[in-house]
Amino acid sequence: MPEITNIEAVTQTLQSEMRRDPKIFITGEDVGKRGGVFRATKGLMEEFGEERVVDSPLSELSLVAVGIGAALYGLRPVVEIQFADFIAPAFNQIVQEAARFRYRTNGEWPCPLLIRTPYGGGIGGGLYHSQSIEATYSHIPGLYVVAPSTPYDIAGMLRYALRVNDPVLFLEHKKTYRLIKGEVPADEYMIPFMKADIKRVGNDVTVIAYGLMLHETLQAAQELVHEDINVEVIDPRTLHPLDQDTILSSVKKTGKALIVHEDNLTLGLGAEIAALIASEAFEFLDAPVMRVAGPDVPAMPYARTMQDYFMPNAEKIAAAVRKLNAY
Amino acid sequence: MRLSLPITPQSTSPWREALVFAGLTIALTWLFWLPGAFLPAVLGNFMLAIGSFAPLAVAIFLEIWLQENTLAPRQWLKTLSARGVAVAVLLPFFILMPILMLRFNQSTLEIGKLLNDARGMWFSLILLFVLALAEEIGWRAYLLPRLKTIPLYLTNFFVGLLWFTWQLPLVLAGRFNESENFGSFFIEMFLYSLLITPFFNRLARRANYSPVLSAILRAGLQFTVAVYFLQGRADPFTDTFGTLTIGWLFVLNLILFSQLWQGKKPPAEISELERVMPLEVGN
Repeated sequence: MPEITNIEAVTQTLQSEMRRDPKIFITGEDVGKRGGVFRATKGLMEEFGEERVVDSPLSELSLVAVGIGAALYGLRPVVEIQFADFIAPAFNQIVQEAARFRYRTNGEWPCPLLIRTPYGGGIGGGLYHSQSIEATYSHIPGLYVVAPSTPYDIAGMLRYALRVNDPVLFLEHKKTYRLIKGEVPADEYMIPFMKADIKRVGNDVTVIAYGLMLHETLQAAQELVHEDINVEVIDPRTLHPLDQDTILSSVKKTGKALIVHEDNLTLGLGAEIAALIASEAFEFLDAPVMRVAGPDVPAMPYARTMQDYFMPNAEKIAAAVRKLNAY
Repeated sequence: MRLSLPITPQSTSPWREALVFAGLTIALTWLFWLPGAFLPAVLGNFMLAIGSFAPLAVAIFLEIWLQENTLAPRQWLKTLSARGVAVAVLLPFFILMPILMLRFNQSTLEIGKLLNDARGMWFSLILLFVLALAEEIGWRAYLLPRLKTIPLYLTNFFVGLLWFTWQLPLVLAGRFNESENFGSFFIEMFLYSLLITPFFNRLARRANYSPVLSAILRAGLQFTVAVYFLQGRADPFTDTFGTLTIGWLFVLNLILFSQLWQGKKPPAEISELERVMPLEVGN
């Protein structure tokens, strides 16, 4: 099996899906000639032409609005928001229009819109190129939010997302684009939504993490083996709706849970997962549910030292696991 | 003849390890306890003491056989807290409180004599703790973590059942039987095993499967009962002592695990989220 990076998994899957389904088209800022700022759509305009890979004006609002219209018209639009930080102008279109179409039409008009966007920090992107937006959008019924973290998961979930008949926010952690490599089978497999993956089996503590934090957690788990602490790592993959069963089964086994995300701590995804565990697995807990997350500051600082302070990493995760294990 | 077990390092699971542990422990213990329970006091007690080490021996054997390293004595000490030790030390008195209070109320218990007897038996407390630790390393540190995936009340039931089966030679020989009626003694011992097990399990779970706290509780219970019986039998085991203690244990179980009796969960209904997000997939 060939080993590819996360960004290559995005490009290759988009390419094979566009070959399969002529209704799929891509639109976004610089996605055409330039191939996207991260080169996720590199070479696609050359192969599929300007009508299927469309460079758009600098207006996220209109990008998503055009996508909604096309989806209702029977196409399968893939809208790329250049950085997740820039999605805010399209909030109204995503939340009040796309996410509500199935509900307001009693299932008559689904809206198969796929919005891809790079998110997360750790690359020196500062205030406007580093945000994690998953918690805000995971609050919206009607909108699927997914955050696959490996090439295998990205390819399988992107393929699946292009078949789901409802709007999907597809989050890709930008630091993992070229950092993470993995094997991807040649066949056109799919990974359904709402299926979490146990990335590492363990007995002592359950850690739930996604995106870049998944890889930091796996590194921490590897280091903790030397201290006889066996960590089970759960990658939810779909952030909304969550695969509750996999998370609960793991916590019922270990009795201890830690949630890691780089999004701000307060009212982040960790809060929802902690509430789920408290509600459904309370009598299995041997310790309070803990969280490691970004601090409650308005945005990622630009200075490297400040960014390092902001970002959770393997060291901080290992410290939290030690504390939880000894509780 | 080569030793053959249904588990190997390549083919094992927590459930299989738990079952093999229970089977081997019961078999090895009975080898000493069956003759020991019926032999005269000195030799019999010696055999019983040797048998108490069977859970420890089996746990160590399985660790070596399966090339595992799950028993971690240093970790057991690290997880001890002053509050945990205090609970383990005080729990025996708390469990036996109704009967002690009743006898005190009837003026059949002399506190001064009770304390004197307790002071005179301090060495037996150490011996009881060592024996209890050997048993608890098997039952709590080895077996319990392997039953993590099943609901708590089922774990308590299974371990209580196994623990009673394990003690059958002592029960059948009528050890600790202060009653003239063997049938009721048998039932009381059965209920006692089921009702006391949740406390041992709870202490072990709270200490991250360290066997130390449950060993303290075990030794404390046996010590308190022994001292209690030295005060003279004003009550047959199956009458006041047994029935009241078991009734009290039942109440404590209800309090301790009250969250498990909050009623049956309603049948799983489709949630609002599932209704508005049916995950419809097209071509």
